[in-house]
Amino acid sequence: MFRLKKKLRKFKPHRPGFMTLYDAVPGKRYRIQRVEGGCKLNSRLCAMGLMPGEIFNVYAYSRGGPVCISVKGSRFAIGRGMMGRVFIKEA
Amino acid sequence: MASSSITVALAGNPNSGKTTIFNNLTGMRQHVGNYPGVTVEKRSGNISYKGYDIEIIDLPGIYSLTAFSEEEIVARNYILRDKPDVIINIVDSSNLERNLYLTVQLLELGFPMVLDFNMADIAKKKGVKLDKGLLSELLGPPIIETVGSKGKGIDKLLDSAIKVSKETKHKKIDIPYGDEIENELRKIMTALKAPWIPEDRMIRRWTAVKLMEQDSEVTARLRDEGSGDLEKVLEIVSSSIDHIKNIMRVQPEVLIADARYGFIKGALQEAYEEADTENVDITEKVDTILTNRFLGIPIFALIIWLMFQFVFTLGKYPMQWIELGFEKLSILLNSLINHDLLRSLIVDGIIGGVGGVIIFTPNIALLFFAIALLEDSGYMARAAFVMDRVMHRIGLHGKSFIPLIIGFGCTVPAYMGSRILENKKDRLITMHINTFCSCGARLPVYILLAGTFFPAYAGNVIFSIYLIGIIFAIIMAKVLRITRFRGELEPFVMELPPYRVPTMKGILIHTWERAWMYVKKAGTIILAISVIMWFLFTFPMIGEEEYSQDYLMQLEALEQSYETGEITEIKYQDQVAAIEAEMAAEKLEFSAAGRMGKFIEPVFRPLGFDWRMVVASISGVAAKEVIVSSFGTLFSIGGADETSEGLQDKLRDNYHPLVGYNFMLFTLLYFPCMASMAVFRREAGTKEMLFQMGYTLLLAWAVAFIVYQIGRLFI
Repeated sequence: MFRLKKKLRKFKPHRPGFMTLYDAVPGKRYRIQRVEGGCKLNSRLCAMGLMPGEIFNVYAYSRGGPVCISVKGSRFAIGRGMMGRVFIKEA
Repeated sequence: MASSSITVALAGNPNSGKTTIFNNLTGMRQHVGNYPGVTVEKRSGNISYKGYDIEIIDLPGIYSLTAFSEEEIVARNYILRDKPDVIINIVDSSNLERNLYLTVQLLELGFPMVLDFNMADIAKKKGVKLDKGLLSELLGPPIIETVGSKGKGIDKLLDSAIKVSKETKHKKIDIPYGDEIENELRKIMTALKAPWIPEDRMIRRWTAVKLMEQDSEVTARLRDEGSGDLEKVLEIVSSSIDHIKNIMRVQPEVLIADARYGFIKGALQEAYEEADTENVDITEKVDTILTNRFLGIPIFALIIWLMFQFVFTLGKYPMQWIELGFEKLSILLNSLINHDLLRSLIVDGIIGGVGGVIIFTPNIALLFFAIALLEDSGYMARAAFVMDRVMHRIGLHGKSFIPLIIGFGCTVPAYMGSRILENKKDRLITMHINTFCSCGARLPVYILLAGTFFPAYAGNVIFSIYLIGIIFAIIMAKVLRITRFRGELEPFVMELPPYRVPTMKGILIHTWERAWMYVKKAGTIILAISVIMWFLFTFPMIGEEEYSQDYLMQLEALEQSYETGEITEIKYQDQVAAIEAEMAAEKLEFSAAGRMGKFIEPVFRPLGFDWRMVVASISGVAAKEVIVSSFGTLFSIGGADETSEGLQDKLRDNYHPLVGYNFMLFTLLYFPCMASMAVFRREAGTKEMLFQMGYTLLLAWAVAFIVYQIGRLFI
């Protein structure tokens, strides 16, 4: 049971052909492509300045936990649950 | 004179320095309350300035006027319903683009407004060039530069707010949303031309935009205000949204946000010049250490340890002074009041009860001092980041860790500290499991019982109780998350504010507020409960003839034999004390509390408890450490504490070690003292408080039942 759960957890974020925040590594610069979220979440992220098209870099992360990204002088921590919904491209 | 009073609302992003400005404007003349029905704090203050009475409302920190969080809804509803005379929009000058997003939304509402470009010094240091006049012309409202931390520009801000409140014409701005969206907006606005929509064009346009953004709150409100036309409007809205999605391939809310940013960028391009040199960001450098995946948790643990030391070790001294003060007061009152009952009510009931609660005030003040320091410096957000992974496993937010750890010291500040959690469900779960983090007041009970029944392993036994508490906290967090507080964890997106040196003024105001709130509580509800508890333990009074033995005769006989020199003074006093203790025990047995204990005893029999344990548990509601002194009274040991041998012997004679352990478990699990419950009610409402009391009692009973019934098979 535990092993299966672990597998599922690994599987979930992987979407072949697309890159999400899961795949981002520290030090590189990325561009936000789109966010797969409800209208509430979209509005929230837009208000925080996390708009499609913005360039960011990952500057801290913890294994299995959230990542820290910096966008135009603001810094955000983004949790696991959301990382798979943020689609990105190398910039 | 009505014209000389003005209402000013402060609005702005979190971390824009809004609270600092508010503190500068109002000083200590602040009032903290709650918005009706929600747990969002409402801060306001009244000042008089140049002949005007100005009421200042500090709206919660928000990023936009959507309905994402309680804070946003509260801020929005306040502006729309209470219609402040002026809005002061506080903006972080060094992060204009993002901060102006809220500004643009406020402008769309068409309210009189002043823009406060705060932290102007930091922006200047960064080498930013700004044409205030031009930007003000492009956006509409006047722009005032301030430095909140140094109190610069505050007078100018007030002058400007007064001036704007007098103007009758305000520049109104329509954000151009692009042809496609504008077309759809026009359709919706036409459909909205119903009697239940305000005539104001700005509000109508705003409502249309919100409907396009699928704002659930606006829809619900329109429905409340009632009209059959709403369904038609919603149909148009949903076809508009589909239309936009089809031709633009983007969600309308993203397009709308994009248009707003476009408007901001356009204005900034003309009036604003960013520094050419890319500054090395100190915050990010510090973050690479504090949030490092290896160092992050040890650093966090160290900071929490320091905080614990600060709150409980440093707090010990003022606590001792307060205790001493109450002792002296009791002695004084003992000698002043002649009436026995009145003296007992005031000294034992009121001073004992209220004093026992007031004594925690230094802890509360120090704790909130520490929390304010962590929060204002920017570390709190990092702590949440570091702990998020661990806490996520039990379905909680990273920040929950802080109130939970505080709970090991005292549950009262822990409940109050749960405020750092913005999300209501997260906050309630954290509060509901906090009682299992065994507080300091329960330790004397464990020391007494573990020392009595397991003298050789007392340390390990007490440790096991703490551990069981933690296990129950984890289990109940999970259980509550899948039952009462269903729903996914809120998507974790949190801004990490830049590190700043906190202002002493801000921290002191915050600390004072919390401490005062607590003292006020002690003076009201806890006073009442203390009196009730006193009555329960005092009445009905036992009559002379109702004692099982004629104690008065025995006392008289003793006195005689002492006077005739048959016994020494020491022996005389010992025997008097023994008789008085036995009288106290019978008195207690006769009182309402004693009767209640006997009446409820059958319910607790399956746990192995007798009526004395029940009475001790009831007295534990006043404060858990009282359980020890209650046992003392119940077993007629005068002045017992957790190490008195007489009491230990009596307990050993009366109970099996299993029952002793079971009682410790019960004490761990059932809700903490009345002070904490009063705070719980204040923070979460009566319903949640009753739930907390009910479920912890049931849980405590069930666990003790299982342990006793299974344990009995082995003894």
